Amino acid sequence: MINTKMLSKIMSFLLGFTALFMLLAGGVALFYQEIDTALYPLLKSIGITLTVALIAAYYGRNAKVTFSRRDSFLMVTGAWVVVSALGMLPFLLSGSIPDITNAYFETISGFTTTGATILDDIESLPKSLLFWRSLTQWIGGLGIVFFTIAVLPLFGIGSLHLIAAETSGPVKGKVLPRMGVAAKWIWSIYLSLTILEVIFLLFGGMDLFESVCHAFTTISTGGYSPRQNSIAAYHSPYIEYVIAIFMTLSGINFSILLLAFSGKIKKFFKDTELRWYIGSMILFTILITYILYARNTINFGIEESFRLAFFQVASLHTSTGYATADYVLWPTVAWALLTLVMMMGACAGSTTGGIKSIRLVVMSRMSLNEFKTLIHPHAILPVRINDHPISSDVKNRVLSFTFVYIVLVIFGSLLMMFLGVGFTESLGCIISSIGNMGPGLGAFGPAVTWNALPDSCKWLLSFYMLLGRLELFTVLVLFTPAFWSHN
Amino acid sequence: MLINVKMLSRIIAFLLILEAVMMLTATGVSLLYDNEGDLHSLLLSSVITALSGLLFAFAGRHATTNIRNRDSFLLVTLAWILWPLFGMLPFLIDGHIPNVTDAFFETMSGFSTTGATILNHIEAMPHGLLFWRSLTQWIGGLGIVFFTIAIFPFFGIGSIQFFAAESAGPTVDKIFPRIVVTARWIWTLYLGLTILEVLFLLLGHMSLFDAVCHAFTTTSTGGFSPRQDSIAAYHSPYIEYVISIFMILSGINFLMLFTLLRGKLRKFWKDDEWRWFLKSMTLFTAIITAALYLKMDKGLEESFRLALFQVASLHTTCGYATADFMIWPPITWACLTFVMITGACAGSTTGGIKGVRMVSMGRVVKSHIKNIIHPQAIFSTKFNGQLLQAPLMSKIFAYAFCYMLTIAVGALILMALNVGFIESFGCVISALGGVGPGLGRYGPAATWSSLPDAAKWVLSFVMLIGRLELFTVYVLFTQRFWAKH
Repeated sequence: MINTKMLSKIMSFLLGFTALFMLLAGGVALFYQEIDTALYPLLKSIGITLTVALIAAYYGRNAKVTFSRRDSFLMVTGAWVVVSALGMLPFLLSGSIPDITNAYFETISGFTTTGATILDDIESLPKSLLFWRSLTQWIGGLGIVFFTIAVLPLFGIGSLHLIAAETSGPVKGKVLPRMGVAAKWIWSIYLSLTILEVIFLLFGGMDLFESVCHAFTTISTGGYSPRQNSIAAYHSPYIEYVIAIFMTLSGINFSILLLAFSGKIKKFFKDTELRWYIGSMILFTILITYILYARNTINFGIEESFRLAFFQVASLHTSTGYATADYVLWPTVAWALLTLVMMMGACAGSTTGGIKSIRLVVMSRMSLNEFKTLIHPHAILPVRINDHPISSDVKNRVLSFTFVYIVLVIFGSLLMMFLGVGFTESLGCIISSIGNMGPGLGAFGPAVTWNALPDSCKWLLSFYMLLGRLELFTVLVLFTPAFWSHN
Repeated sequence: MLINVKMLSRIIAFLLILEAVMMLTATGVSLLYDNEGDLHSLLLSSVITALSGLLFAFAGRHATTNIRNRDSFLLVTLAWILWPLFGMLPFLIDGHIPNVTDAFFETMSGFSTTGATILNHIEAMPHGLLFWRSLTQWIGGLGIVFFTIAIFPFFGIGSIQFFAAESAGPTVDKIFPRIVVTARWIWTLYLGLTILEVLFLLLGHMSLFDAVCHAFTTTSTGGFSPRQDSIAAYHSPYIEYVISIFMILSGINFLMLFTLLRGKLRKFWKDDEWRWFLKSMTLFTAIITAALYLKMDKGLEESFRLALFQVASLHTTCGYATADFMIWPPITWACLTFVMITGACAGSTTGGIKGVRMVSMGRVVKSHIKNIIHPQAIFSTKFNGQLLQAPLMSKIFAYAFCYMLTIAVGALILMALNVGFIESFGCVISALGGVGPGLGRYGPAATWSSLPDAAKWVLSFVMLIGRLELFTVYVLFTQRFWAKH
């Protein structure tokens, strides 16, 4: 059975936090004197959010402190859906995004750190709302649920469940034994990376507001920018390099980053997944640099080719989605490579989306083993990650994930085409949404917004963002009869 | 010695001589239609092939008969390269396909039962050559080595290895203890199916020559047609239905067809893979019928007929066309692309990932989802009542992974050669699955002749990989294969 009271108790807590963050945006509104355009709508939103939170708290006042596996799945999915629903209020009430479909799309795109936008004129929004928009990504970054890891023990609940539900990545090297302590560590890394990036961006002549917004969405690999032209608007190689490097850093597993922060550099560089990720970054950057440089139709210099390639590969490998160029205009093979990168994603345990390197490593090694067994049919060959053999259970998990991922991509594209979107566009939008990327392909590439999509597609894509962010199964299990059956 | 070179040359000798004999049958056809000028080219090619065969026989004259795993992978790959290499001679010598790239592509497309063509004027070709073109698919359908095994039972026990290296599907079922007997039975069934189709097509007023050619390429799910417009040229609903049904039959595991013939209806009906194939056929036919009926203003019967034919054609990776699906709504071609990738049943002449793998993967995923809810429970996954063991599942998933990877890499290479995005994917998916038509500019209404030469070679290689189910070819590129121990 589902412990609805407990769920609503936790939900009230989460909504309280959401209201607190909205208050932060309210502070920005006050600072920029955006009283009518942003402050009142924000205050109204805070009021509504707090009311909902109080009702939920009242309903859950006598909750029994039990939390089953099913509860945690429902909790995680519910958290994203509900917080996005209330998080869209500032946009809706201020009239910046007048209809619900667009507002919900924009907000869930924020909280899932996707970064796909429907705003055709971003600069016209009040600064405080832009700040809120970036903040949703920052909050979403490590996950609202992950965010509350330090709080949940207050309820007397072991938080391991929630972690397992939110990031069902195959390898969980326990950096620190107690989850609460680990969470605090990860947060301090998250925060210090953000602050570090703000400082670096300030050096590049970006103003404080935009630096903060960009730092928020870089570290969370979200990709919202307060500028319509994204990073291309600054025409600054320095800023592009800084952001590319910070994106790359954010693509690394946080528990591995912790190793680096605590000085265990050798162990850091020995991590299988990290090596794969860095290797793939280098490979694709070289390939695309070559394509941009060698195709004389474009005429980029070698430095510019490299910079564009590095930035775009970092942006799409980590599923951030910033743009410094419209890659749809590049040679076909270049954006096809980028699409592949999008599907791959970076490391598990980071804020990125996609299939993720660790799974690709497992599958590649499994396939290589199959070749070996063809020659030596009776040999038994284990698949090793970081020198540990992988159990067949983990293998099945990895393979099921990838299988479902690909099936969902195909199925989603079919639905999009059914709703009248073109072939390349459907594929691009679906891959981008499920991977929490941002830009798509074809007519919905990095230079355009997704505003022109039919409403039904926007809802579908919102759902896909949620699916992708919660690693598919967390959401999918809710649709199985077994989940709701009594035993 | 690492590789038993002598034994390999001896087997290749047999293979080539057999090919020369097959060419002679085409010569017979060419005699029936005189003055078409293809007689000498067929004869000459036959002689060249036979002489080369003798050369190989001489090289392998003192062979020892021990065959190992490695030998079988190498042999099967070599066989599939050598047959198209010699098989293209008639086209080249005759001059109907003047350059080597095109001729090799066309012949490889034949033997791998792909059916993609570079010919823009098929009807202008002499009958003897057209017959040879269809015959390549018929032989390729069940497999060159398999064919040879059925005729020359010279390997004894070892032939199971060759069978495994060439056959379609993750496991090798044996209905008879001796593989040679199985091979002969399957060939008999194949022949029977072909003859039956010829009869049905004759009833639909197709000429004998066309009927035979089409029967060859239907049962092998190849898709070469002696007409430029493929089956659309006949404007006959009867013929379209007949061919649809025979394509579907050819998409079923031959061993299952065999149990059906033996009257074991129950066992046939309960086969998981066949049920999957039936469901998938029904689903996609229904979707496409609806799309055509609602969006294209076609009659209900016509929509159904077109949908059934196209789904059957692409699901079984045959590749005939009765309409240009590229002018249909995008959802239909997306559905069709999907069935192209899945293919039909293992143990048939179709390509693609194949039903048994799709079903097994689907079931593992299902049990995984159940496991998420009940972490302590153990759910068994079964296929046809047999437990899906971990090693087999690894093999199946690795196959699917490599399949997708091959599509991605292949498409990227084509794009690097300046082929468009949709076209690259279409051509690679089509070539890897042995289908025939691609997407976009290389859809069913167009030929592949305008592709760059390099792309044709890449696609020829992709066809080879696809027909031999990836691993047989890929293993040759691993270091371990050539390592001493």
